[in-house]
Amino acid sequence: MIDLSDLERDTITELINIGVGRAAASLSEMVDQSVELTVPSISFVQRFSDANLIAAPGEVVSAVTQSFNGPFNGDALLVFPEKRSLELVRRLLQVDVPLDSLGDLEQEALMEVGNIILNACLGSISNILGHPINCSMPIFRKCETRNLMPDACPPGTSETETTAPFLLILHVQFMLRENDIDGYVLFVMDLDSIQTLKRMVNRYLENALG
Amino acid sequence: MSHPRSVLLVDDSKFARLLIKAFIESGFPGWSVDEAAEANSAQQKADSSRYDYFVIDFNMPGKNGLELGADIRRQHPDATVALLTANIQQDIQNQAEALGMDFIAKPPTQEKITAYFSAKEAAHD
Amino acid sequence: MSDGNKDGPANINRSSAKDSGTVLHDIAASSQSGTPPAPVQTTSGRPASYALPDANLSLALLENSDVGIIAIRRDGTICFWNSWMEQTAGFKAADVFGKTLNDVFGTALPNRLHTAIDDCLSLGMPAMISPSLNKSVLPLRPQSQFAQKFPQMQQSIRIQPVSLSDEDVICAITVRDVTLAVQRDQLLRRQAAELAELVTKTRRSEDRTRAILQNTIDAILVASEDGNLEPLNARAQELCGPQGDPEIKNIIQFLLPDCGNNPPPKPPSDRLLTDLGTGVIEILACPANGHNIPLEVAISHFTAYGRYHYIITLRDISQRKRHELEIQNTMQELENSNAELEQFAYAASHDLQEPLRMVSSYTQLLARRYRGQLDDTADEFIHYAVDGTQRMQRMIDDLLTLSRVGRHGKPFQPVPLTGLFDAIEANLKRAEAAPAGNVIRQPGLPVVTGDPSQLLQLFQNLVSNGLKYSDPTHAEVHISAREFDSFWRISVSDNGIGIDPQYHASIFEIFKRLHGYGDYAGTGIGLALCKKIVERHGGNIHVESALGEGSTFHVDLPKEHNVL
Repeated sequence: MIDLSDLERDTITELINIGVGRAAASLSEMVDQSVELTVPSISFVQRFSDANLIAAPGEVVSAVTQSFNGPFNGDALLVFPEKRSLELVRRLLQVDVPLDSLGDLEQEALMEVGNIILNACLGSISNILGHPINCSMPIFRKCETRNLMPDACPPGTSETETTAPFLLILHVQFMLRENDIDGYVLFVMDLDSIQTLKRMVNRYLENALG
Repeated sequence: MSHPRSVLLVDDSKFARLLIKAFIESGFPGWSVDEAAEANSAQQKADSSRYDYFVIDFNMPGKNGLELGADIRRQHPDATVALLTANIQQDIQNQAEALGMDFIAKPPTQEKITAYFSAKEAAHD
Repeated sequence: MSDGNKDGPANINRSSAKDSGTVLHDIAASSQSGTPPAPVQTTSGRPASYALPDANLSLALLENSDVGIIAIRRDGTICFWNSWMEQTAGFKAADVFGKTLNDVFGTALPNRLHTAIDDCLSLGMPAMISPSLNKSVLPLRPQSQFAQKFPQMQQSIRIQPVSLSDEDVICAITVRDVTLAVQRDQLLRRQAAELAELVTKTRRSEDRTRAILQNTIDAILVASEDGNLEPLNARAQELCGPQGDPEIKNIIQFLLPDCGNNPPPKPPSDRLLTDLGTGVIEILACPANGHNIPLEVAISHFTAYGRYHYIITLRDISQRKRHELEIQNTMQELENSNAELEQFAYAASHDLQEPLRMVSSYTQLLARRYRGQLDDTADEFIHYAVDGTQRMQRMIDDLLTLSRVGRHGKPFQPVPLTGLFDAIEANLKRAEAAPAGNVIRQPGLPVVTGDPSQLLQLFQNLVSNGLKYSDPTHAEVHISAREFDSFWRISVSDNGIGIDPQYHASIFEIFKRLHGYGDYAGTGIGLALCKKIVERHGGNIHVESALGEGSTFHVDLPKEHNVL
């Protein structure tokens, strides 16, 4: 299990908050309405099945995924229950006619929302740490929560710590007009990557604080 | 440059406070920098000590930065209050301005912090 | 569109660019000058058969691609601009190289684009810019067929870093024209909105119909072909429910024109208030929790989804039945009192005859025996007594006739009026009341329906009246008939003294005389008798006349006698 000190954890949280703030500003400007984005909670878990969001494994979710590789590798996901994703897109686009599922253009809009938020989070980390992060184009998936991030190893088999994915789970909350829409951002990294991130955070802190 | 100033940093992120404190101390040696993690303790500190500057984060548990800033502006009209936030929406900036607060966008950097305080000090002199 | 490029083109491009050792800008420049670029070598990880095509081919493909391709260098200047971009933006590649996007398009480009390009170049972040969240990022011309509705092309944009070397990165921008998709989306949305509105309207109308049905006082049920009955509203549910009439469904099923193979048994006779086949169906419902209710049953039908359905409407007619009963009672009382009256008239006139006859006989005896033996005054007194008793005799006779009209009527039968008037003329001739030729008949008088002897009395009265109230030397009576939809109008006109219109109604009243006894003979019962006969025939009698103009009596006799 990875150990993060309070300060390391706080630093990553703050970097992500900065990113999310930028993303909200960017979205507000684009859709010409106030979009507030907050991160009520951030948790680090070793296994997807430990996460709160697996509470409803059969729930259908919309996910926008971007893979990144740079100094550290992994996947970044923005996840909404499908209904919430529909609601989010419709509030952003300010359309009142509900269709039963995301239309092509709505899906593309959701991908862009994911792209903006994930880029902002990764970009904020990358910017502070002074290292570019190579990132893939976002892809869109609709699936049940349990299939979102299958645990690397089937239950019962022992897994080595190095292969087990490390999850950074952010609960994100959109405040649009009167409604709140809740979703999650997941960063899925292997142990090597999280250790690289930890090292880079510490190096940055040392430099910054003298 | 004139006599040393006192600053109260209000931010729930320890990292942010460390960073800004380091930037101020390296840019303005001799200044005193106090920290508070949320509005209540900030209010207590402001009641018991005198500060020239307040640098307040927007997103905090409890009272947000704008609410705390408004209180501080009322209670300590001589002090300079700056809202420091990653929430860089125009709407928030406008509200801050209406309350007579300055606005500093996160992330904080040495250049940004030094430039801000230098400009303020120059205006005072 | 959901397919991202997960591999990231950065890796491939990075190696190819590294190998070729040139930048795209230079490729474009060299292609324009006709010099082929340096050949590109196979990426190390790929089999030789997947050798990259030569740069000329790549360039031609990019040039002729159906998407817009722009490359931007770290300093923000444009170093690639394919022909698609030339056409849609209206700027030649040669004119945009070395300029920034702002230089080319002006400064109106959205921040989203600038931020995405900056993040791409400084942080290696790819971005997608969707047409829904961003309206027309680049000012590009739409295809002509969309120009009217879309002043600018709707675009879906991808922004990706392309590494040329470890230090050098360019930003590749791909622009797709999605105007058609946006148009379709708008159409879909409009149609969805219309559909939603339609659904709302339909639902509202349905609610309204249901409310009307529910709140209708009549009970309404529907029966399907198999006779299965379904109550449609609250009243029907009440009648068919546990507190209602357990038999009512069976009765209704019995009433349906075809109720399957095994018709239900005929309900008890006290539950059917009318005879079947009369067109009106009334039944008696006996609810478990209250008074019996007479119901009028109406059955209509409709066909829905190829199946036949009956709608059964049950109307509570308690009120109407009560009224009917009241009317019936009143009628009965009226009839009774009429009968009593007739009985009294008959009895009175009949019993009066006996003493009258005695008075009459003895006064006549007095007159015969003692005329000229007493003084003149006595003779005169005896004359008045005789005259009085004779008139009284006639009146009593007429009263008896009148009372017999109601009581001794004969069944109706066809009566040819020609024969009838033949008999009248013969009667009058015998009585020497009518000189020949003064009763003129319209040819072809019809056959009417009625009691022959009463009709004879009726018209004989009218004819002799006509002759009586006329100058005997010129008196003429005309008989005519005219057919109407439901009745015959038989008219008897004379050229006599006429009747002042103010008396037209009262002349039909009993004992009504317009003249002194001396002028015209008569008891004042004749027209009352006529009226009574006409009424017994379900008809009408009225007069048209003016003083000195003669009179016409119209008798309307119905062609059909249903209710007698």
